[in-house]
Parts: sequence; structure tokens; C-alpha cells
Amino acid sequence: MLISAATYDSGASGIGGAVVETITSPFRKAAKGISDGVSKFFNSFKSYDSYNDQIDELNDKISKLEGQLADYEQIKQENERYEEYLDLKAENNDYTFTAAEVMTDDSISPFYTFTIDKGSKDEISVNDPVIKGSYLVGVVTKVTQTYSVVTTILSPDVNVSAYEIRTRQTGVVCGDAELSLKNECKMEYLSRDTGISSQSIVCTSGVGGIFPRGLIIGTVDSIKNNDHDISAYAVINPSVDFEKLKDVFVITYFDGQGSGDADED
Amino acid sequence: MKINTRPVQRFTFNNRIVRYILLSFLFLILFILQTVPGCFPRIGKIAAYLMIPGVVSVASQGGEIDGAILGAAAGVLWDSVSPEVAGYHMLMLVLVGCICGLALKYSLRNNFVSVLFLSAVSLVVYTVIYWFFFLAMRGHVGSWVTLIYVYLPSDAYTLVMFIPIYFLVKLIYKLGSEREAGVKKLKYNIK
Repeated sequence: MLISAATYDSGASGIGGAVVETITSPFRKAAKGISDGVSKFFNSFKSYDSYNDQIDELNDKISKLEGQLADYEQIKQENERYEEYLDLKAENNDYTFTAAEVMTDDSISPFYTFTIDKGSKDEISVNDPVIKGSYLVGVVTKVTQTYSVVTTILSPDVNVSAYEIRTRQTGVVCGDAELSLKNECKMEYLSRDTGISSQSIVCTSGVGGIFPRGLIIGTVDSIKNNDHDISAYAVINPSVDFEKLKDVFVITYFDGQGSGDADED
Repeated sequence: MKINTRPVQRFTFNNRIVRYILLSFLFLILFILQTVPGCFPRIGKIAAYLMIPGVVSVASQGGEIDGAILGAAAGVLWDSVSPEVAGYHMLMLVLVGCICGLALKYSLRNNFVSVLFLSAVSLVVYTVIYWFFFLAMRGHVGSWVTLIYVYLPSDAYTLVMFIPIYFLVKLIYKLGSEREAGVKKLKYNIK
């Protein structure tokens, strides 16, 4: 074995070296196996304290990694959130946003009225539009110093001037008690011969100065005739899932904000 | 009568204050369960209005004054998340607490069945009045559908949750009264 090892180590080559190596190879493998086994056997006699130390060390590492993972997930989510708004901001330089999180909702209201964790100290005021990405969520209806109440577009109390992007037909999007059960709202004041079809996209028109132009409200589900007059209305499926809403952005300023008030004055 | 030789008056807190602290804590939990999304299961739009049976339970155990005070506190919390007229829920819950307390004092037996009945009536009246003022009177089309498919099922759902709330409130009052009795005994050295 020694001869073979010496021959191998010295880099002996040729047929003799190969033969020796082939013959000694099983012995070398066996020797390595025995040596590993022996060292394993002695390692198993490590003290209980050293194992405990190792466990503590590994636990520390796990908790650190878990913390890092949680931070990573949070940052990832924030990045995704801000990406949407960067696109919107790039398209609309005049917008000023405030990010907010959904805190609570008014369970007795069937229209998903909810509160956000930002108030007047964050420059939020009544009638500020609330969005999720480029989709309209609702409007701020009550403001305190530290929180605000948001009424969604499912509520009949919120009226949004809107247009359908293909036909450019305008109307007013508002909530309906019956439709709100299916999380839908409607676009009213359409003529019965309207060219709006299902799956058409409805956006805010900007008229009235409360909502900026171009925010997506939702897609048309169906067109129905009003029973009490000669107009028709479109049933709209909002693009926002109100049940899963966790964070929103409030538009605190945009060009033309409050222009409807000025007209009224 | 024997004279107690042990040191007297171990409790320095006023029992009423301790009880109110415990009840306030309970109402804070009920408020969180009722309003924070995901804290308490909801079936679509059917939610549990936990504050109402909470106020009725307090009125049953502590009378109309406690019912009104805790009703006011619960109402202030509820109003904070509501876009409706400021003070609406406070006023309504004070009325619920007061009326239920007086009804149990003067015309009904104060037992579980009576309080369950009062809770059911309070829930239905509360939600019907809310529906009437904030949906029907505003002329919202199809608002009756909300009453049938949202409010009345929510009342039934809330009533199921009345049972643990009632016994929790009862436990708080029982603890308070036992302690009060203990303090009286110690105060007058009665064994």
C-alpha cells in the first residue's frame, strides 16, 4: 500500500503505475472508509454543551434568516405597490399621492366603507380620490387628524362622472343597493341605442373636479334598460377587489381638482 | 360573630372601576373583531355586529346605567369607523343599553332566555332603523334586498355569537360582586 501510495503521489505514470493504482484502489477506499468511521465515532463523543451551543447558534441563524425573509417579503410587496404608482405618476406628473393602509371597515355598511391610517396631518381632505394602482376605489368622506373614512364606488352616495373608452359615451357611475350585493355598480344616463358593449372599459372623465381623468373604474358586464325612464344603464364590474383591499393611495392633489366647485361658485 | 385577626382591606381599587376597565377591554376586543377585516369570519357581506349583544348583556347584568355608559363608549368606537352622521351609533347604543336595562328591571325576568330575546329584538330594530335612515330614506333603488339578504341574516349570525359574549359579561360581573362581598366582609371583620 505504501509503495502504491508513494508511486501515486510521486506522479508515476505508465502501465506499471496504472496497474498498481488499480490494485491498490479498493484498499485505499477501504482505508478512507475506516478512517471516516473512526473519526465519526469519536466525534459522537462531543459534549452535550457543544451540541447545545450549536443548536443555539443555528437557532439564532434561523431567526435572523426568518427576519431577513420577512423584510424581503415586505420590501418586495412595497416595491410592487410603488411600481404601479410610479407608472401612474410617470403618466400624470401633477398627481400628489399619499400611501395608506386599510385599518378597519364599517361592517354594517354593505358598501365596503373602510378607514385608512392617514388623516388631515398627511394632507388628506374630504373628497380626495382613493385609488389602487390605476383603478378607482372610492372617495374620502370623513377626515380626522390620524385616520380617514373612505366610501367606495359601490355606495349609491358616490357619483363619478365617467366615459366608456371605445365609444366615448359619457354617464355617471354610481352604486346601487341591489347590485352592491354582487360587488357591482352601474353607469347611468346612457341612451337605449348605446354602442357600449360588454367588456368595454369605463374610466373617470374628470368632470366635476373630484376625480382626475383616466382612472379605470371597471368593465361593463351588461346593458339594461331603466324601468322608470327612457334611458339605459350599464352594469359595471369594478376592477378592484374590495374584499381583499389592504393598501391604497390617496390622490391629495391633481391639476383641475375642485374645478367643479369653482364652476358652481 | 367572630373577630377576624387577619389584616383587613387588601383591595384598594374601587370594584366599579375595575369592572369598567374589564368591560372596556372586552368592548375593545369586540370592536376589533367587528371592524378589522379578517379578524372575525364573514359570510360574504353577512357580518356579526358584536357590540349590540355586548351592550344588551351589560344592561342585563349591570342595569340601565351601566348599559347606557358602556353603550356610549361602544357607540363612540363604532362612530369612528362610520361615515354616517356623527354620534348615530353612540345614540343608538345608549338607547339599547337603557331600554334593555329598564325592560329587564321592570317587565321581564332577568335570565338567559329573556336577554337572548332582548338581543334579538335589539339587533332587528337596530339594523332596520339603520337600513331605513341610511338606505331606504335616501331613495336607494333595491334597498329592501339589502335588508333581506344582508341585515337580517347578519342579525341571525350575531345572535349565535351572543352566547359567549353574555357569559363573558356575566363572569366579569360575578367576579366583581364576589370581590365586593369579600371586601365588605374584610372591612367589617365579619367571618
